[in-house]
Amino acid sequence: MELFAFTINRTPENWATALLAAVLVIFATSILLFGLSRIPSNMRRPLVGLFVFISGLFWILDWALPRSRVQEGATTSVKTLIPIYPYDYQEVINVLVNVSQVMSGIILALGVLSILRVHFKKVFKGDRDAFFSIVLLGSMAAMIVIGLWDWIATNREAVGMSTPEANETIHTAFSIVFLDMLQILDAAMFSLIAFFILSAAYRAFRVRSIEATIMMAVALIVLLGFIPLAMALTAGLPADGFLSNFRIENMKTWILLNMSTPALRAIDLGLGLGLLAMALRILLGIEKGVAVD
Amino acid sequence: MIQEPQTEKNIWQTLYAIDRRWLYLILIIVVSILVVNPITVPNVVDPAAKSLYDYLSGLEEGDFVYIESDWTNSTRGESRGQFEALMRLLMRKKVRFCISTLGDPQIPDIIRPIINQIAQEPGSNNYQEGQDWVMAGYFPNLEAHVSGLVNNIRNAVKDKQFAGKSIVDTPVFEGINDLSDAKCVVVITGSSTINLWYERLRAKTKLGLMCTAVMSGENIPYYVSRQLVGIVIGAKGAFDFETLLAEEWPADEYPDYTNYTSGRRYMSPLFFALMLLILAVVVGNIAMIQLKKSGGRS
Amino acid sequence: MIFAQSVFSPQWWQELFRFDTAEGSLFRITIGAILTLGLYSLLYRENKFYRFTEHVFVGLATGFSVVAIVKEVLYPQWWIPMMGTPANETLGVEMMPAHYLYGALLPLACLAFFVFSKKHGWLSRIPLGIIVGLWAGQQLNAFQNRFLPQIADQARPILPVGETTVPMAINNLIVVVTWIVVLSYFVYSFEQQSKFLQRTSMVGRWLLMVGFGAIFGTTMMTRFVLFIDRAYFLLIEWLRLGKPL
Repeated sequence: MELFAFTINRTPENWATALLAAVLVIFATSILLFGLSRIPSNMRRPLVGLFVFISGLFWILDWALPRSRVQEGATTSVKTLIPIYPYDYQEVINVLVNVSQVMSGIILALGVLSILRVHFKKVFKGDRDAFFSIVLLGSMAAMIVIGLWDWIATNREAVGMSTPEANETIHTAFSIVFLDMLQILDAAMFSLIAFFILSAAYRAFRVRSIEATIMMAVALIVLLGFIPLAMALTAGLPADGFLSNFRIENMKTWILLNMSTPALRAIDLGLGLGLLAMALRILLGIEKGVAVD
Repeated sequence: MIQEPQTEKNIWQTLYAIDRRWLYLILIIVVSILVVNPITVPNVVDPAAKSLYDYLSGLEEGDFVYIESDWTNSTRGESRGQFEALMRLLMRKKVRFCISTLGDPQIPDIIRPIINQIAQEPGSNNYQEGQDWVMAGYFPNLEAHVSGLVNNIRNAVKDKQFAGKSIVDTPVFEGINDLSDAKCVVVITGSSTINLWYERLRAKTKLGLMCTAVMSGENIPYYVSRQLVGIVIGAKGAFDFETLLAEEWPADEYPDYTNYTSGRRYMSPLFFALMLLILAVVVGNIAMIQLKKSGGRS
Repeated sequence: MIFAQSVFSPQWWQELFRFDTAEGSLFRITIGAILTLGLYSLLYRENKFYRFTEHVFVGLATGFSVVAIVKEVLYPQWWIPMMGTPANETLGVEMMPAHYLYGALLPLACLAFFVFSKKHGWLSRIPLGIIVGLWAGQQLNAFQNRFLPQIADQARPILPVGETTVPMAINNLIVVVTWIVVLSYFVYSFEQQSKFLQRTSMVGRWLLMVGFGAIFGTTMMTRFVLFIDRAYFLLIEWLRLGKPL
């Protein structure tokens, strides 16, 4: 389990020591990164490139290293063991996953920050829509407060510092804002698309070219092939033999398996190859916009 | 003489430029009527759904299946029916299962009452949590969780508890030392968490998918290449599962069994809604052609 | 057929005004129903009620993403490994040592906020570069496990020999040809001057439309079922106008 030698064994009393160590690390890293901002501008590019390459290398190793099956008592587990390094490489991957999630989490906060900026600006400028901005900021604040409070209450219950009965109000409040408001709004928002599809189908889905006609015909067969009542249209055809091919559900299945599957696979493969090529370009530092301008 | 084509043109012109709100209103009325008074419809089961059903139905008492349930209320219309039918099948077959979720921390609270309610039904063998099934609950980290399950299943879920002890010490995990001891992993999802399973499963066990219809296009290729043992698509897939349940436990022999729920219930509104859509496309096109013929464009 | 418990009965109103906050109570369903109607009012036209609900939705969703980041990412994946946890025998939790080097992640990730600075803007590329690098490193594995089996499945017998029957061979031929032709549509690396390539890429575009048609069809099904489910929620669960499942 010990990935780093740099650990402190925890007891209920020494939390201050652990916190101090962490704060020191944060402080030291900040100074180091502050130093980075002073490096000459021609070194910036290789530096970013190095960060990119090393982070990618960890996953490439995970892919390339051999795995072995290890029997420990009753459990079989798969481990990636390499010479010299005495631990399971999977531990490195676990840390890596933490790193990427923590980083993306904090970067996501950037998005929240810009939403806040836009709406606070509207409120302070007394915009015509200021009321709606207040509504937005208010419901956001309510969700954050209720959500975090509920979470803290749940955590306290888990260690026996509180009881579910004592926190009933906050649990109810959270379940109202989450289940009865956010989730319901989510479902309603996506269901609105049904109406827009209907209107678009009426106005824009026109047989103007061969492509549009093919697409429409396939969409029609697929739709009908999924609907039991529509299958009744061709239920008169025999279930076996040549004529059974013209039953609508069989036509649908045939199209899905033999026409749309290879077509979508070709798109997927194109996409996959493109992503792979881009990934290699990024790792090697030749993709524009990541390490290179 | 001049007036006759004039009125005809007007009809098509009106249709061509009809206010979309009339379409919306028709859709709302059609769906509302059929939601309140559904029509029972017959079914022809999709082979891809039957493939998963047959595999699961062929399992023996005491076999173990790992379930990853990722749906929330936002895809309830399709996923809930699929999930309920899957639970009924596994409980009637006395197959042990463990459920975890990746998408959302609230999912365990959404699905646990459903499982408990189905467990009380006749035919469900009075399934007990901790005895016949366990909830491994929510895992925030997709990557680590799936890789962890594949590398060492007991280690991956050992921190989750039921009634004060680790779920791997319950009878559910008896004899399950590796993911390859599970007969199948079934993923019920409304999002793309299935991709991680394609990437990380390393053919340790079979993989089944229950997804929303919108995801089916991208996932059917994996069924064709046999990376999936079966794929259950949208509300129709739920209806397929319900139909297969009713075939295996017919109502005249097992009168108090519940086989049909939302899958069948949503079929007739869906049919008429889609018919409306097709009609809209047809009328729209005829209107366009008629207008072109008479030389007028709106 | 009006149901006894429906909105037209006094019981419904009595139940509503009990303001019961238990999960699944009529009062709570009503909250969700009003918000749903708020969003649906857009179908008539853009209005204040819709804008209000829309902003509530965006606010709640953004707020929830903050909550989710804290409780699912920062706390379990950063704070806990960094601070460790002492053993707790009553709960059967083992001691986890404090890996204080995790602290380095915070300043590193916060470099992203330099994106607003002109002078030090380049520093924000370090955390973004790390994330992009991690993503790129995974692509080899993804390609091998997701796409290679797909390519392998494309290699099919197209001659009716042995176990392959004539219909199977025809199907296989269609599968193989469709795949190649659609792929040829994506050849952008050089100008498609040969007549043959131009033809295949035209056919490729048609076959591509088959794929899109299938996706379009299934997309419509999902959207309609979502709406039907909302109609069920409003008419049956909320107004109780019909028999529930």
